[in-house]
Amino acid sequence: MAQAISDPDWTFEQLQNEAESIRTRLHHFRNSLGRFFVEKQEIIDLMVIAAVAQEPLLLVGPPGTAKSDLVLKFKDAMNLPGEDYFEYMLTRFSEPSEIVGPIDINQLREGKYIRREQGKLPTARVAFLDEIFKSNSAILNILLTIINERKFYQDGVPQPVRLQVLFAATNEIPEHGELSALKDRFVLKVESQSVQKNHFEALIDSGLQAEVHRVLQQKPWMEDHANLTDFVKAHRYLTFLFGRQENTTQEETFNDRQIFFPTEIFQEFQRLVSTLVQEEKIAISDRKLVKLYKLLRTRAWLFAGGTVSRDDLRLLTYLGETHEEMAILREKVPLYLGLA
Amino acid sequence: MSSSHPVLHFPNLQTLRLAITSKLLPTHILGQPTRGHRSEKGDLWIEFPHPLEKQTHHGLHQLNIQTGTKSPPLKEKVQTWFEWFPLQKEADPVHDERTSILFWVEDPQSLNELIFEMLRLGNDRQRFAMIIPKGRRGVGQHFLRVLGPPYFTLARAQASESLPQPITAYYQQRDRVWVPWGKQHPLGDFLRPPKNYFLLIPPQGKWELFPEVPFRDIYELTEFQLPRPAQQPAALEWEKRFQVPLKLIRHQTAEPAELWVLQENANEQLEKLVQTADDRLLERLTFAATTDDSEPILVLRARPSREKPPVLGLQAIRFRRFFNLPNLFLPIDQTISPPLRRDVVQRILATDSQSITWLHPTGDGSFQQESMPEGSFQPLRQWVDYLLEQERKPLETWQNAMQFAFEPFICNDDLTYASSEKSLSEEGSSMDLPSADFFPEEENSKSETKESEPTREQEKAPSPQPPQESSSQMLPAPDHTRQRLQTLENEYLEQDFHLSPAERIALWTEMAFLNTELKQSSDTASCWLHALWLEENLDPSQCQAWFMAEAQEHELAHEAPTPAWEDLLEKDTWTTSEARLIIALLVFLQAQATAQPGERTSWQNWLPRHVEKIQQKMEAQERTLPLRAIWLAWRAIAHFSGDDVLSLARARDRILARLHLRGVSPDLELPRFLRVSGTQSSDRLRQVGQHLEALRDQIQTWIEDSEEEALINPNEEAREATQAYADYIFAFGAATLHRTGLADECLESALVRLPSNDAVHDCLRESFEYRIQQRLQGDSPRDRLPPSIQEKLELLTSDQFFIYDKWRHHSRILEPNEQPDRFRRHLDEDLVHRLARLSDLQDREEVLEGIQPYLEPATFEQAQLADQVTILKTALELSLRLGESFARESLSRLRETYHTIQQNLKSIFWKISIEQEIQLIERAFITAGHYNLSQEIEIWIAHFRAILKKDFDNQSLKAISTLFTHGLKSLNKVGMRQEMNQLLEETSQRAERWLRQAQADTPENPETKAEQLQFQLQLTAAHAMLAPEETSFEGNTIIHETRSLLFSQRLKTKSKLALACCYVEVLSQASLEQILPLLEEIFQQLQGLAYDLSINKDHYCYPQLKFIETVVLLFVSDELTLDRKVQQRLEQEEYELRRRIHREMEQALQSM
Repeated sequence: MAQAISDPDWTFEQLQNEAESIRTRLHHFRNSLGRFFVEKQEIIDLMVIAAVAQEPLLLVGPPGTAKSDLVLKFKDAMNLPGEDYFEYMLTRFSEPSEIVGPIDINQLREGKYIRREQGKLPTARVAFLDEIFKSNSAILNILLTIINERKFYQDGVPQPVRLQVLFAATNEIPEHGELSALKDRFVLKVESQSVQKNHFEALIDSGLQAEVHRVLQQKPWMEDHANLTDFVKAHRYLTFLFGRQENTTQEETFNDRQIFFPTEIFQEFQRLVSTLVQEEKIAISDRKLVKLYKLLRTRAWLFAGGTVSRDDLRLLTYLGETHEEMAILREKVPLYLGLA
Repeated sequence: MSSSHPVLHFPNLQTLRLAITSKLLPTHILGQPTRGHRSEKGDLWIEFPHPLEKQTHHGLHQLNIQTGTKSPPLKEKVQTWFEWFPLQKEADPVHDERTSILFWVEDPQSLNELIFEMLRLGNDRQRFAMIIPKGRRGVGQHFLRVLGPPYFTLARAQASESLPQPITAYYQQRDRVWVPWGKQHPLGDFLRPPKNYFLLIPPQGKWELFPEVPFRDIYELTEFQLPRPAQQPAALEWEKRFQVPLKLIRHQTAEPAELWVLQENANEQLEKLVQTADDRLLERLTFAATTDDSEPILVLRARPSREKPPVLGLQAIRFRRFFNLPNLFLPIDQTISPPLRRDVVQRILATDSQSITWLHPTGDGSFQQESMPEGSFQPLRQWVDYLLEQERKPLETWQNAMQFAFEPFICNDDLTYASSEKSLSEEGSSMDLPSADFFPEEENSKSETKESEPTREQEKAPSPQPPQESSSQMLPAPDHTRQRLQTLENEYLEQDFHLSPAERIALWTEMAFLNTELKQSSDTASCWLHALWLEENLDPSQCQAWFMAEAQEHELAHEAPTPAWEDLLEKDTWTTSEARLIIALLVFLQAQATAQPGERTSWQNWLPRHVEKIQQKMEAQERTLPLRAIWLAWRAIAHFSGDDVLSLARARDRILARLHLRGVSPDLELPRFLRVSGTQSSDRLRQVGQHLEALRDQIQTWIEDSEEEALINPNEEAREATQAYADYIFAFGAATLHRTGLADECLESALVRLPSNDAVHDCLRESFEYRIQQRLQGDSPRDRLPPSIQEKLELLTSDQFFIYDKWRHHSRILEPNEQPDRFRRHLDEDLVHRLARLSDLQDREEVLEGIQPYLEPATFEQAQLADQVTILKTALELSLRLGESFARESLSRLRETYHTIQQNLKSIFWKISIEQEIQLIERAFITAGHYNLSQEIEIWIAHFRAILKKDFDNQSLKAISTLFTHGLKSLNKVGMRQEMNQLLEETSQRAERWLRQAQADTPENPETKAEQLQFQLQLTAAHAMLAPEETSFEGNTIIHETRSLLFSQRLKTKSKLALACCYVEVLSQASLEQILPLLEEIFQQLQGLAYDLSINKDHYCYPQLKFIETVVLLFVSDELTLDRKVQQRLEQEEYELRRRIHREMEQALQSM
């Protein structure tokens, strides 16, 4: 069993030497995993991007469209130790103790409100919350704090959580006001759709294979291309890059955007956002916009080694907050970019 | 620093703006270059090029603008003073499909991207120009002018502002002044670029003037590359036909059975049915017999009817109609598989419309197609003989000896028609009853009946028994009355146009009495009204008889007013029969008062207290009353109100307006026997309806075939909409012919096909549904569309309204009477536009208020001659709604103006065309005819004759044919048939001479020929209308030439449509048997009425729909649906109505 990952202090130079090999491994990881699914490469790519950027990703789709399966295999392919992974299917009746651990009775007797968090969400590095919007308000508050602030309160004292990668799944995107805060935390939302209409044969074949693997307890997708450490290193490396500023001979300073985001692409990005907001009435908050930049850079690095291209702007397809917005973005973003 | 010129110091920009807008600074200075300095605080020093005038100086000082010669260095140079003002950001810049944006692209590569991006995003409304301005060293500047560019592209322009070679997007803040989109110049309204130049105010930098050049469509400059070379695979002849077996499958349906095939014990079953069923059921059935080699097979069929078919409990195979086809039947619980279209089913299974076909199931889904000629089905009822078990025994006449010994008494209110020689007046009745002279003596017939076997003839009503000569006052048996009435009705029908007025009065009077006896109150009133109308003066005895009949019906006393009468008058509204009763009372009292002026009966004393109440309620009742009754009522009211001529005139106007809008309503004006007279009129109606229904399929196929020849490819929505509107037109026709089933089917089909979420379709749909609903309710819609629809039209954009109105203008379904000017929204606010808007107003007072100012002498006389003509044309059109006095005034003005026009004909400023003259005359005819102003008509006839002597051209031919279609019918209304005939003859002769000359002088041009043929067709139709017996369509040269030209492909769409519509309209004068094959021919051979490039192309195909409307209106025209005699009767009715009303009105006015 793999050992739990701790957080070493890698330097930029160390990571810079490894960056290209990490990128290659991650590239193999996502391509390899895609072989075990039918028409899910797009989602797998997004999962990789979200995992590197350490931004939560929401999978939306009707039951039976491989949402849970994707996360499980992703987790397996990362060769993740058991204690670093937490998954749970939420219901209306789920209690906080099921997510963050039960109250420690002994501590409670001493007047301390401490939860026994081992093996629960606060201690996991990778988490999968299925039917996340079925959370009740008690769980909602805890989740928001964990996702947003990466904190968890024990007896009133905030403690950092170890969560680095969060995937969530849902059948429907709710319209409720109180869930909109949770919804907003997921910058990227991707639809997992049924594939039987266009890939009937492949689905049958692949599904049958999956059943065989399950019964025979085989996991051929665990090919050791990349592990969580690689994801974490990639994230750290990119973080270093975001913070760097380069000087030219004219003593002019260039930041990450100026180096890696060509002007015409940035303008394209800007006007695409403006058009989506003005014309298609898609809500894009400032926070989302900043996180989007990070995701664009991550994708550009993963797929092409650094400079953001027009193709990377496809990420804007996944900004929708409702099914209608998702459908609009699916149609319009490629059209606007000329990539239809 | 000092300057040689004065320097003005403005503390801020607002002050400079104020100085400019208050015109303190001379305008010519503002457009000149100057120099200045702008401080960081916002102060401005600007050099003024000339010494300041004292007044200017003073004004400037008042605004705290300092003047002097010292200032900071004036380094900043501008070309105009307006350049000092920076552009301001607009909070909400306009951006929609109609916004015109000008892109200025300095880099050709960017231009390519820009064009392609917009094409990719669906906008091809781009026009391009390259301009080489001065000062750019011959470097061309690229401009792209786009209508409604995508926001995404506009954002590109905004984003690229800071780039070295930006794309800038501009919009037109004012004419020829372009500012960056999203910004505006605070003084943009003051900017006036030089002529033939446009001004561009860039976000930064100098203002630029560019010469105005034509922009070219982007498609002219774009080359589209195919990804691969085009291929033209060779077509193969496909020989093999696909075999599809038809079979019957189970199918649940609620449709009732309409055909029964009796195979087992057929005879016995049928006998049992006729023995037990009532004769109404049997009336609905027809039957045919055949044999199956051994056993007889009977086939029963329900006659088509509005009611549901009967339910027969027979052991038979039951069949239902399939696809509403009248001659194809399927087993009740089965249907055909695979499902086929209606026309295909008809073609395969029921080609012969004269045969009845049914699909006899033979098991396992297969079937045997069986059919019999329709003619072999006989009405079942006719084959039933009702037998009497015993002979009829005549009853003994009751002898006087059996009289009861009553005390003698005097009966005061007994009406009898016995041919007794005693009249009741001898018995001291206070009322004068009609004498027995009205009733011819019956022939004595034998009282014994024949002792013979009962035969079919004895099913008829038995011969009337002769009235007994006795002193008893028994009424004759109802059978006798009915028969007598029938006899009189037949007599009237046969001879009405040849009867003298006295004979007609006699007939009407007797029929009135007979209807009273039969308690047919509506017909009673109708007969009395006809009788009274023919009398010069009201006959008190007739009026009294009518009044008594009405009173009897309501069980009210007629001798004197009673409290029940008070109650009746107090009611808020009256029923139609109550209103008739009141009218009968009024008429009777007026007749009595006129005949015996000194005498005051109890009624005469009672009425004056109630006249006002009656007057207040009468107008509200008019809608459901016959026009004769209305007029007589108001005459009486006017009489009892002290000769109130004004109310009488208003009643006259209302009656004329109703005649104009609704025509003569047979249901209200005619008794039943005249309404249903004519050769099998109900059968005729049914026949026409059936043909209309059959035509629908043919027309839908024609529409689909026509799309293949379209000049442009119509979009799917337009195709569906055209089919939908065709269905609306058919629904209108079906509703008019009372085929509600077909109307509902068409409405449903139209609703499904018509695109939703489109304002134009929405308005058209509502308009059509309104007209169809009117027809379904039995109205003849000639009024305007209701205010609710008018309000919706106001919300349409200019283009949308134009698309809607294009059709409304030409549609006689949507606007049966007035033709609103369809450009009225698009013209500038000039006279024609303002006048045309008056036709949209509903309220009479508003219309009057709108037109009166133009007719004020001061205004009118100052107007140009052409404008005077326009005003008068509008005034005449509106006069049909505004009353006789207005009409007279307008006609008088028209005469004067026309006289002036004739004097001015040699003027070089304005000359009236023959077409305009004829239009004026047509208007004058219609107006004068409406108000029975015969003298006016004669004046205009003379003018028309004068025109006939002038040189013709095609336009004048067109105008003349319109005159014949609409204007001369007015002559008919006032009984000037002879004059109409003469005019027709003169015109025909003159036109033929001209046509011959025209054809000899110029080579044949199909368009010209089409116009000439239209005229000749109209003349033919006019001849046919006046003398139908003398006009034949078979072998008619004009008809033949018209057909040849229509089917020849030489005509343009517009001419073809006009000729085709004219041809169809003319066919209304032919018989139904002649029309049907000609129509079939048209839809098989007529091509070329397809979509073109007009503005409505995305909504409907106007040529097709206009033609279909013309065809459907032909089917519902009086000429086709009414018997010729019935048409003549209606024309006669209108003539008699108008004649008397006008005559009495004139008398009333003269007596004032």
